[in-house]
Amino acid sequence: MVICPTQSASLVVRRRRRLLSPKRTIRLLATVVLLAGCGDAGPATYDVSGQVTWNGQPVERGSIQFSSPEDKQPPISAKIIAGNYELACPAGPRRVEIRGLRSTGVVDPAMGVEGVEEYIPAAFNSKSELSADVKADGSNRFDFHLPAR
Amino acid sequence: MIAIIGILVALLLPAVQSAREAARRMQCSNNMKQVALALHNHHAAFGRFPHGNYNCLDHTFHTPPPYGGDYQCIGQSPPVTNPISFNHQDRRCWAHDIWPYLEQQPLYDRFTEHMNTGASALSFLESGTIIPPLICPSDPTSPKTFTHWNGGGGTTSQGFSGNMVVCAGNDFFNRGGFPTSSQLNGIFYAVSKTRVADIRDGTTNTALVSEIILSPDKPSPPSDGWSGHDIRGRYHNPAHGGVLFSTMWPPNSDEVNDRLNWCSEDNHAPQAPCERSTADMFVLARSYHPGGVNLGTADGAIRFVTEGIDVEVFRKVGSRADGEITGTW
Repeated sequence: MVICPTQSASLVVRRRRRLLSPKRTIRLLATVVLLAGCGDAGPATYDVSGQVTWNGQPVERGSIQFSSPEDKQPPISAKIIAGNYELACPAGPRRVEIRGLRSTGVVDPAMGVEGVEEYIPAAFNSKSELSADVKADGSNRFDFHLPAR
Repeated sequence: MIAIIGILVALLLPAVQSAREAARRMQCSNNMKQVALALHNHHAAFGRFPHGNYNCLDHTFHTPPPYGGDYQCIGQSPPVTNPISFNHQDRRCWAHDIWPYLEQQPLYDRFTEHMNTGASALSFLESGTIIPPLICPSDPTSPKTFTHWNGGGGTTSQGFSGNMVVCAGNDFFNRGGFPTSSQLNGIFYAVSKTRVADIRDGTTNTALVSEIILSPDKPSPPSDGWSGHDIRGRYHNPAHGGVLFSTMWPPNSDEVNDRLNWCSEDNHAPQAPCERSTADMFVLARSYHPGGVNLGTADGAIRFVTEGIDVEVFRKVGSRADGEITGTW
């Protein structure tokens, strides 16, 4: 965590001191070090949350992704756990992709554990037309109740 | 006085650490150069770069001809066959094919003998052999030889995993979950036979090889019974796409999850997040070098690509023949 002071008290010069007294050196360096962390932190993000169901049942395990328009910025994604998700996303319209994951119930002989499969069809992820408009003010709760067919 | 010395030491220590990282980055870049040259040596000997992968990606039971199977990895839906009896599991990748050019001819001879018995690369008894040029020393997990499960056939693990990965283009490895992996737009994909002449965007502007961050496997089965595997960089089990990368997003996009069938969602390196999936899989170039990754282009040059590279430009770098001008990067 870096605190960026708008004006630094430690830069105030007192006349009678030597130019580079140890204390002032420390203060100066501390200021420089602290300010070094200040810069462009990227666009502001807003908390988004909601519920995801598939065929009336909460999606136990899966992921949700908020993609930027035209897919020009890296997507924001989060896990869906027991039907709920939370993420932080910049404001604006987003395309939403939802994936549900479940065990195949069959141990993969090469891997020694059960494999997984996606069960929510491409219409809600690869070819999704789901969307959400993340707002800079107000509530950003988006629930998705996906029909099986 | 003590304070001044303290400050100077405090300033110096990070400088020493970053000098050491700079040295590791250079070693990494040198290793990558060896890999790029080895790929070119393979091209000189066979008239093409090695196959990225011998299987359809993430369709381990579908090996295209002439490697035992009959399926071409181009269909819109996977064929319904008896998977185990119908198709051969090959599980070789580009890394095996360049062993002879990385001073590993004897190992390669024994490996060829093993493959000639009809076995899969996964059960090669010497799969734990570390191939030094495939390592990037900046990654504390590398070289990785411990895996969650053995490779079958008497091996104790699924072998050596390294950091070097080759470029499959700028798309998903299996768009929509379909086995599209023999039609990707990079130099390396399922049974790819790319020649230099096929790289119409120019070898200087097309990615050949880059690096990834490895994540450790879990020693015991996870409590939820899901996966202890993270197969990124696992050359002897490359069939799920862990030995390729996509330029879909810029290097070190640590907010973007790699997406692949077998990865450790809750045990990954913090800088290499991932989610398990069986569709739209991809792996991104990542490293511990501050600011970017090493990347080798198809002309054999190694350069440092910064995280700030324009998304569109990096995507053009990944594809071999999109016909668009890449510009300077």
